[in-house]
Amino acid sequence: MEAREGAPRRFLVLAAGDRLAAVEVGWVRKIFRALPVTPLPGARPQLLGLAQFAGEPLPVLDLAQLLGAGPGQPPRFPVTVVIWAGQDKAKELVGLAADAALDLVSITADALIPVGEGIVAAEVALPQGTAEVIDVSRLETA
Amino acid sequence: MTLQAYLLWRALGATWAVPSSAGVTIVKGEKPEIHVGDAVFPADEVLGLAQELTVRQAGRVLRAFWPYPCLGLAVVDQQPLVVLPPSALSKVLFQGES
Repeated sequence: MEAREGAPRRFLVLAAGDRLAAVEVGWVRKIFRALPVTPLPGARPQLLGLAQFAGEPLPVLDLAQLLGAGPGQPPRFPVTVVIWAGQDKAKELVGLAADAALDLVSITADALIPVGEGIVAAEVALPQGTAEVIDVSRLETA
Repeated sequence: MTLQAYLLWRALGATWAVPSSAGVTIVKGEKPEIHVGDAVFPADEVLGLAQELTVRQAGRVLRAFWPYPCLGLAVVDQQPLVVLPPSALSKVLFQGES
């Protein structure tokens, strides 16, 4: 997802508990109203379970849990965002369960404040509040 | 992708499969059971045999958040399931009991 220096990049803004998250649009494959999920016993709390997407099994992660978010407003339109996670040959489809898909925004590099901790690569100030920019290549390290 | 026969069942709120070549026996009834060797695993429901199951390798994300051995993942009748190696059945299905 490299972009020209200074060129705005498009991000999908998601609500997750009491936090906002931003995922670069290039990693997003599809957005659904929350997919039904089959829980897996023994899973870490970040893994909601397995769904099916286009006839294929899809692990679904809880975005609020990944961010360590507290409870937010009751979700009125929860979504599952199907994204590409990982890098290069290890790329795989993963679902992110979020409380809502709020907006598409353009962000320039100079608006991003690097964080470099866990799956959060940066923070950015948006009209809705501060959003945490997710580095989807680091999901498995959460 | 592999083509092979698998026994499918539901337990612990999820759907599971094991290769039928593992010497699996089904005990049907009100409380169905899956027998693999000397081990007995209670099932909520035995779904039957799938002759052609398209098994996908579990990705790194699933393995990071569900730390159990598995042969892969599949979908049957729009239901995702986990294909387990016979050697992992006890570890997965008797969590917290050992």
